[in-house]
Amino acid sequence: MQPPLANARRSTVLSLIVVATAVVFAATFFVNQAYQLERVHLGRTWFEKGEQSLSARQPDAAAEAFRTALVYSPNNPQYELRLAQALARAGREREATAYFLGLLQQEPGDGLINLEVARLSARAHDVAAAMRYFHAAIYGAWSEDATTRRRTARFELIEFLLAEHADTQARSELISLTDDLPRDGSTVLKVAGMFLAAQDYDDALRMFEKALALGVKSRDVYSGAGTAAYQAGRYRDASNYLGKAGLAGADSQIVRMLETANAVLRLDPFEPGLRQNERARRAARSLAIAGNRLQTCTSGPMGETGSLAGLAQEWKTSTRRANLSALTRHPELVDSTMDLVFRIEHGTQDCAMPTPEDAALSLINRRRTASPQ
Amino acid sequence: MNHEDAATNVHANGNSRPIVPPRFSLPKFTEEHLFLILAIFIGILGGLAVVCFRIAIDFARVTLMGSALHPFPTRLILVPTVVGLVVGTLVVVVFPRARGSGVNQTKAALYIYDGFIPFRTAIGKFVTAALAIGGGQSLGPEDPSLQIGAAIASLLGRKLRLSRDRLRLIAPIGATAGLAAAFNAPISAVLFVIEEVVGRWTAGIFGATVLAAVSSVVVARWFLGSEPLFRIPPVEFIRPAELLAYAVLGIVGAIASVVFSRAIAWLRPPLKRMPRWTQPLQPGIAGLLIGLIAYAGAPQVMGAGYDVIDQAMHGQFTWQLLGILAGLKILSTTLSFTSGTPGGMFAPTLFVGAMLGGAVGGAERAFFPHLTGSIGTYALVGMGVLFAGFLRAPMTSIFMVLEVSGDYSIILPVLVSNTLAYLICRNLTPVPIFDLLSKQDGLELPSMEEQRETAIRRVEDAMRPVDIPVLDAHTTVADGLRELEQVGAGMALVDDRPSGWTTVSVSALEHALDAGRTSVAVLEVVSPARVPGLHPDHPIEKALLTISDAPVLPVVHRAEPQQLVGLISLQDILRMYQENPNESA
Repeated sequence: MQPPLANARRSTVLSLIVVATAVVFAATFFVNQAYQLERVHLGRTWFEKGEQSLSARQPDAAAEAFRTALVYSPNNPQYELRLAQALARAGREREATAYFLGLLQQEPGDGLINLEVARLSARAHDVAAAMRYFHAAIYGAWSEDATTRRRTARFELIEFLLAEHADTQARSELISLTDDLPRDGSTVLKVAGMFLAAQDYDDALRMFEKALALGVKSRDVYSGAGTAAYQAGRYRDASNYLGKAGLAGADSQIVRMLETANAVLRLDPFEPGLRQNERARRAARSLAIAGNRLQTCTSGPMGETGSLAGLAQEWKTSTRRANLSALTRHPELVDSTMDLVFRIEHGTQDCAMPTPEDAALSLINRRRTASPQ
Repeated sequence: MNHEDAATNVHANGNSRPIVPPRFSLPKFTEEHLFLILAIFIGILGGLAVVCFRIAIDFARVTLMGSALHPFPTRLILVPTVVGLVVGTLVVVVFPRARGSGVNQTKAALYIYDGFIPFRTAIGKFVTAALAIGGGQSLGPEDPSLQIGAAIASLLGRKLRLSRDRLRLIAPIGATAGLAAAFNAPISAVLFVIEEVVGRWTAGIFGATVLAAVSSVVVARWFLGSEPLFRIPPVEFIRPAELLAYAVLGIVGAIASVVFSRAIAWLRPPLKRMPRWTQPLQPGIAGLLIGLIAYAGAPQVMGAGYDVIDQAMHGQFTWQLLGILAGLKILSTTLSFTSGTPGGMFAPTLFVGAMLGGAVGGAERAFFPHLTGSIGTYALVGMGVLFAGFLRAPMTSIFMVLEVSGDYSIILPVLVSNTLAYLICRNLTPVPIFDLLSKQDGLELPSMEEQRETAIRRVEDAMRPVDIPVLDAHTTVADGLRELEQVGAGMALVDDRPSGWTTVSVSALEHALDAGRTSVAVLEVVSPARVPGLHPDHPIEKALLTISDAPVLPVVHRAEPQQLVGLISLQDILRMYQENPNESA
C-alpha cells in the first residue's frame, strides 16, 4: 500500500477529478445528443413506413413498423396509437386492446382512444363495455371536429346495439341523437331507419316525415314512412305513403302492407265518423271474409276440429241473424258480429297464410283492444 | 503596551515585528469527508459511464443487426457468430479480466485484492460487453455496469491513496453507482450490493452507497430520461384468494431457477477446461447457436430483451409462446454465459421471470377465467420470483418490483411468490449461483447467504449457572474467606457496582489474612480493574473482548440488573464451539 497523500496533494487530485468529470460530462453530452437525434430519426422513419403499410392495407406490416418505431421513441403516444390501430385492423384484438388500455391509462378522456376500445369491445360482443367506452368517446375530448366525431361515435353505438338486439338501449341513444341533428336529409333518413330497426315506429315516422320535409323524396323514404305508419297502426298514413312508394318493382312485404292497410281502411267499422249503414256494410263484409276463412281452414288439414266446428256453427247463425238490414237497424249487432269475426280470425290464424283482408281484420281487432274504450 | 504598539507587535526592547496576516489554508479533508465526496463523484462518473455504455450497446445493435425489430435472417446467424469470435479473441488476448458477469469480480476486489480493479478491465468490459450484447448474445448490461462502476471507483480511490479499509469499500460503492444507473433503480442497487457483495452495512457504507446511487441515477436520467426500461401496465390485485395463483408462480419460478442454475453449473466447468485455443471460439459457437434459435422463430431471445419484456407485459404474446420464450432464454443465456462472453445475467433473469410469469398467469386464467390479475401483473411478479430464486437476493427482488412498478398494491403477491421461490431454491440448490461461479473460478469468496444463515452466538449460548460465591465489595476478608471455604470454591465474584465486577481468589484472601488484614474490605485486596456485566443476548464477541481482564464474567438480567443469571468464562465459550461447531439460524 502506498502512503496516504498529503492534504494539498489530495486537493490537487480531487480538483483533477472534478475537471475530468466535467470533461467526461461534456463528451457524454455531445455523444448523447447525436444518439438521441438518431433515435428520433429512426423512430420517424419506421413510423412513416408504418403509415405507408397502413395505406397499402397491410396492417401486419404496419404493426411491425410501428412497433419498431416505438423501440426508438418509447412512450410516444402517436406511435402507440397507430400501433394499436394497426393491430386492431389486423384482427389482433387482444394485442390491440392491451395497447389501447395502456393509452387510456394516460389519457382517460381521449375520445379517439375510447372509440377504438369501444370498437374492440363491440367486436367481442361485450355490450356493457362497449356502451361504456362509446359513451366515453361521445363525451370525451376530440382535437378537431368534435361535434361530427361525437355524432359518428353515437351512430356506431346505435348500430352496434341494433345488431345486438338491444333495442331499448338503442332507442334511448337515438332519442339523444335527435337532440342536435343537423338539417341534412341523408342524416335524418339514416336516423329514421334506425328508429324503425329499433321498433320505435312513432319516432321513425316522425323522422321519415322530417326527411320528406327536407326534400328527400324517394321510394325508400316513402316505403320507410309507410312501414313506420303501418307498424304504428296509422293505416291511412301507411296507405298514403306506401301508395306513393309505388307497387312496380316493390318488395312483396311492402305490397302486402299496402294491401293490408287499404283493407283496414275499407273494413274497419269502428273508424270514427262512419255512418251506421257504412258500419253495417263493413261488418257484413267482415263476416263474409271470416266465413271464407273458416271454409278454407275447415276444408284443409285441420278439418272440422272442435273449436272450428263451434265457430262455424256460430257463423251460420250469425249470417242468418246479422244481415245488412239487421246490422243497420241494430247498431249493437255490429259489435257482436265483429267479436265473432275476430274470434274466427284468431282461431284460424295457424291454418293457412291469411289474406290481406284477414290480416286487416286482425289488425282492426288489435287496434280496438289497445285503444281505451 | 498600547493598542498601537500591539499592532506592530512591539517587544520590550523596543524592536517591532510586522504582523503577518494568516495564510489561506486548504480545508482539511479527513478521510471520512473525502470518502463521502468521492462517493458523489463516483456516482456521477459511474452514471456517465453507464450512459455511454447503453449508447454503445444500442449503436452496436443498430450497426450490426440493422434498425429493424426483426433483423434479416442472414444477419441473425452471421452477426452473433462473428461478433462472438471477435469478443472471444479480445477477452483471451487483450482483456482477460473482462470475462464473466462482473459481480464476483467486484466481490473479489473487496475480499481478496484490497479493492483493486484494473481500469483496463473496465475498458475491456465496456467494449466486449457492448459488442456482445449489441451483437445478439443473450446477456444483460447491468452486471458489466456494476463492474465498470467498481473499476472507476477503484481507480479514483487509488489515485487518492485511500486507506486499505476505504479502498476495499470503494469498489462496492462504485458497483452500486453502476448498477443504479443501469437499472434506473437506486434502492434496488443499494440493497443488492449490501445484500450480495458487502454483506453488512454501517452508517458509513450506507451513506456512501446511497450518495453514489443517487448521483448516478440523476446523471442517467438527465441524459436518457426517467422512463423505465420497460413500461409497467396497470397492476391489478383484487382478491386475496388470488394469492394462491401467485404461490403457484413462486413454485414454477423456483423450478425454473433451479434448472437455470444447474444448467450453468453443469456446462461451465467443461468449457473452462477446454484447451486455450478453443476459448476464443466458444463465444462464436454460442453466438451461432443463439442465431439458429433466433432464425428458427425466436429472435426475442437475443440481447437483453427489454423490448420483449415490454411486449409481454402488454399481452402481445400468447401464454404458450411466453412459456417457450422463457425456456429458450434459459438455454441461450446458458450458452452465452458459459462460453465466457462478457455480459450479465440480471436482464436475462428478468426476461425469464417476465415470460414465465406471463405464461403461468395466462395458463391460470385459461383454466380459471375469474382471476383478475392481468398478464402484465403476473409478468411483473415473475421478474421478482426469478430474482429471488435464481440470483438469491430476496430483499432486493421485493424492492425491485416495487421500485420498477411504483405500485404498492402488488406487495402481497410479490412477498408470497418471491419468498416461496427463495425457500424452495435454497433447499434444492444450497449453493447460490454467484458462490457457485466463484468456486468454479477457484476463488474462495465469502458467501453472503451463508453469512446471513449463520447464527449469532450469544452469551446465553455459552454461560453456565452461578457456581461460585458472590461477595459484596465491602465484605471483610475474613468473612469472605469463610464463605469460600464453606463451599470449597477457589474464587469468588466481587460485586462492586456501580463500578463493575471483579474476582478474588482464595489465595489472595489468605494472603491478606496472613498479613493481618482480616477486617479490611475485600475491595482493598482485589485489583483495581473492573469488568462490566454482560447480558444474555450479547454476542459472544462482546464477551471475548473483555474476557482477558477477568477469569469469569457475570451475566445479569436486562430488566433487573441486580439479578445475576449466570457466569461465562473462556472455557465456557470454547466448550460451546466444540459442542456446536456449525450452528445455523
